[in-house]
Order: sequence, then structure tokens, then C-alpha cells
Amino acid sequence: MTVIDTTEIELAGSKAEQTLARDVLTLFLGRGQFMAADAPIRFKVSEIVEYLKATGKSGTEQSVAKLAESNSGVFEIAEDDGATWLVATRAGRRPVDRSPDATHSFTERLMTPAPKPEHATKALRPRPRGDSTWSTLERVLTDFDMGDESDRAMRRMIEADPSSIVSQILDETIAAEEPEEEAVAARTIIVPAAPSSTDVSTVGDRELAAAVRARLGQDSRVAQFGDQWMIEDLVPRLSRGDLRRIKDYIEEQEQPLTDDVLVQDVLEVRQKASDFELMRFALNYRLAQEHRDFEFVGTNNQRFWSVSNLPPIGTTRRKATEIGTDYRFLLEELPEQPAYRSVSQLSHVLTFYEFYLGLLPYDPEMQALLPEPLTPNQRTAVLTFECPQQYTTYLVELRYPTPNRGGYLLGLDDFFNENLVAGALISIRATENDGHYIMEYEASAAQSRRLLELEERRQRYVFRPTSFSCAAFDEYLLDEDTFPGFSNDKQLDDKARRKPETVISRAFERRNNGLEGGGFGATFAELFAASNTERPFSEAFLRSVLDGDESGAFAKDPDDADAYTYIPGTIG
Amino acid sequence: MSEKTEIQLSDEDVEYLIAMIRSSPTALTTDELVEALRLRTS
Repeated sequence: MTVIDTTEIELAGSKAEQTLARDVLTLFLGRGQFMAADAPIRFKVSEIVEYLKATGKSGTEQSVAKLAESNSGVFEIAEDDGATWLVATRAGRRPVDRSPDATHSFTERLMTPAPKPEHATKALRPRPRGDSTWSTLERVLTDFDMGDESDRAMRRMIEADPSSIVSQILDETIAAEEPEEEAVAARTIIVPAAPSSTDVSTVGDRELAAAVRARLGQDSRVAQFGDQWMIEDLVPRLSRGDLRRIKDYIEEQEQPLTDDVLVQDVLEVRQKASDFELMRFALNYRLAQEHRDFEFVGTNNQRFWSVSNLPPIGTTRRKATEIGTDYRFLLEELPEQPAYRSVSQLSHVLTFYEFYLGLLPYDPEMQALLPEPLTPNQRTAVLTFECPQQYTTYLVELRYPTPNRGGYLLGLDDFFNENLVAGALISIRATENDGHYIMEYEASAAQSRRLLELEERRQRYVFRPTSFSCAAFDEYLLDEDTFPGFSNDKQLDDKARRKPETVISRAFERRNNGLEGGGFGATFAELFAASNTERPFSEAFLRSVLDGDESGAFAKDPDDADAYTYIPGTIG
Repeated sequence: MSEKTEIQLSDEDVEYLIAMIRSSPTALTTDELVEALRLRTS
């Protein structure tokens, strides 16, 4: 606050008048000492006279009015409420009118509505948004400008004569540029159908799907996993930490895990979350690019992922490569054009080789039941085999055939050992899930027979009393009465086992059905059961070896409809 | 469809399919894309 010295203010009049004016001014400064310098300070003239009298100074209303007239630059006389007022300011200047300028106030702007525009404002274009419920093709197609019937009619017309539509669009464009046009309403512009779009009406679904895969598979804008497609840029990425945690989790569980489990347990996306399917695709697509750490071992409906150092599924009694080599003959039996998932069920008689190793062959029947590899170069697929009779589900590893090894399924050791014998009949049924199957056997009254076993330590065949409650074919049962030659016989070495003729000749000898004129005889079923102890044979393969033998060792038995004879000494 | 005919998709077909895939928030299957191509020319 600035203190005003009244002596600095020039006052007019005689010396007595100046003294009186200075006294009055002092009175004003006393009242307005905390007021703004230019704020008006008001006193009634009568109050000033009273003040002067009270302080022993002389002054009347006339003298006060006179000093105001003579010092009009300092004082102002105002009439208000029937009284005469003297007005001054702390700065010693006549007050100026400070009434606020209300011609353009904020209040006025708020309270006064803007005038109605002469032209309608342009409609805002809605921002495009993805609809979270937009998950079905039907929905996508509905929004994808398939148009109503009138649109389709328009499109047909366009396809019939594109030039007329071009001229029509040009006319509309010219019309739109005319200033007097008033139309602001939204207009649907139909883009003419591309004349080079392919007519697919005469093409089969399979061929069209192959063409789609061929073209989109080469397009770097598109991400593919299995049978699914998405724009690459829109697929969420997994961090290094995510990949490490996924790998650790699979190792911790010691078995391959499905994408569902990994997305929920590792990425912590709930199954009911709107982005669950998106994250499933992202996980599958991104892991497929991490060849060093992850291997896809699933099917389309059950997408298992594995890592390199998991314990193997199935037997350790024989190496996987050796089993594949044993099944090499199946490569010739598989059709050139596989019909995957074309049958819903198969029945299979278990052989000793399969029973001992807990596996099943990937023969044409099995191929027609199971799914094709989902990804290029996929070597294995983990399937689940449910056995309702045991309330147990087994993880089974399907090893697809390679150019020089046959395919097979591993991991059924426990199921076979606990419930079945070689010669038992099992059935496998497909479900809607291409990775899940139902496996059953026919139960029967309990029986006990002396059945063949391979003593692992001594590598010798022995017969032991065995109780079982499953239906089995007598001709395929390897019991002591039918195959006495097995008793305490040593298993063939690998070199001998590789020759089918050697294995079959040993089967004749182990059947031990000597013929009167020398040699051995056996039915085809007996040969099939006995030969399948050393290495796998399919019926077709066994028959081709027997019928195609050029050495003369094997021959059809003329006395039996489906039996063969063997003359020893002719097989090298 | 039982007919077997060799077919090659045009660039416009591919752009149409990519627009389809882009417009969907989730992955589309090959069967869905085949269906879309059929609906387009029907």
C-alpha cells in the first residue's frame, strides 16, 4: 500500500481555503487508507462540517462546496439520496466512472444462445470400431457390404455394363459440384465389382481351399496357424519373459500342454475373456516361430505344445527309430491321397509286438481315423485316448511316417498290461475333437491260460500262467499248447529280425506243427500271431512275403484253405 | 461340391480375402474364407 502525502497534492484557493481543503482531504485519506488509489471515497458535506467542528476547525457547507468547486481536479460534488456528497480518491484525483463494461461478458455468452445456422452442419462420420461380438462369419459378411436385394441388383447391372456405371458416377460427381445443390444426406456409393474377380462357382471346396492356402500362405501381411488366418500386425506379441515362463511351465508339468492351458495358466487370460480366442491364436502363431524352444505336437482341436527336454511318452524298451524302421513296410500300404478322419471307428487285434511295446501301427485304417498333421513338417501329435472302462485317459504320441520310417502310436503300455493280452480285440472310436478318442475292449468271463512272455533280462520267451477278462481270438492267442517251440527260445538278433523270411520260418518252427513228409505247416492266423513276436507284420505284408517267396521255402497248403507250409534249409 | 477344377485366385480375390480377415477381430478359418468367396460371386 502506498501512503499518500497530502502536501504533495496541489490545491487551489487562498491559504485558508488550501488549509481547509487539506484538512478535508486528510479526512478522506483516513477513511480510504485501505482502499484502491482510485476508488471513490464519499462523505456527506454535513458530515465534513461536523468533523471540522469536532476538530476545532472552522468550516461550513458553503465553504466546503466552494473548496470543491475551486479544486475540481481533486473533489467532486454529487447529489444522492437527498444529500450532498463530496467524493475524492486516495490518490488525490477526482474519481472517474469505473462501471464495468458488460457489453461482452462471459455470463452473457453463456446465457445467450447462438443463432441458428443458416445451413445444416455436416453430419459427423462415425468412428469405425470393431465389434467384440463379431466372431462369426455370418456376422462379418452381414457387415461386409453384401447389400440388400436392391444393392445386389445394382451390382449385377454394374457387372453387366461397367461403362454405363462409370458415366453415371461421373454425372453424379458433376452434379455434386454445382453450388445450388442442397442435398447433404448420406449416399451409398457402390464400388463396381472387380471384373477380374474369379468365378468360383464351378470349383470344389477342397480345390478352392487349396487355392486360398496357396495365395494367402505367401502373403506376408497374413499370419497363418493351421487352418486359421489373421492379419500379422494385429496378432499380439509374446515377450521374452512370456516365452520363458511358458517353457518353464511345460517343463514343470513334465508333459505337453494345450494352448488353452497355457493361455489361462501362464498368460493369465480367462477362458471367458473377450480376447481369449485372440490370445490362443497369438500363442500358437508366435510359438510356431520359436523353432528352437517349442515344438507343436497337437491337432486342430487339441493344440499341444512341447519342449525339447520332456520325458518321452511310451516305451523305453526299443528306440523310436528302430520301431519306425520295423514299420517301414507300412509306407507302401498307405494310400497316395490319404483320407484323414474319413472313418469314425476301427477294430484291431492286438499282436505280441504291439502288446509288449504298448503301441499301435499307423496303418491305412488308423490313418483314415486320425487327423492329418496340422503344421508343415509336424513329426508327432499328442492325442488323448480315453478308456471309459477304466475311467482313465492316456496321453498317446502319434509318430507320423517319414520318408523311410513307418508311423505308429506310443504310450499304451499300462492300458495293455493291465487289461489285455496279445490276441485281444480293441476298438477305437473318433469324437468330435480330432485329438480325442475313445478306446474300448470287449470284456469276457475271466480265464487263465499259459501265455507267451518275453523275459527282458534274458531275452528269452517263456510261458507263464496269465489271467485275463477280455475277449480274444483263440487263433491269435500265443499259448503253450499251440506254440510249444517258443518255450525258452531266444529272441532273434536284430540282423535276423530284419529279414521277414527268417522271422516267418522261425514262426513255423515255433508253431512246431511237423508235416509227415518233412517241414512245417501253420495256418495264416497262427503265422501272423507268431511272426508278430519278433517284428511287426501286417496281414497284407505277411501274405505278400509268403506268396512272393521265390526260394520255394513257403508254399500254400493244398489241404487247408488258408494255411502254408515251410520246408527248412532253403532260407539263408 | 464334387467337381474338381484347378483354380488360381486373382490379386483382387486376395485383396478381398485380406479385407475380410482384417475386418474380423478373431482369426478366420479357411472354410470361412472359401464361403466368403462363394457368397461374393453368388
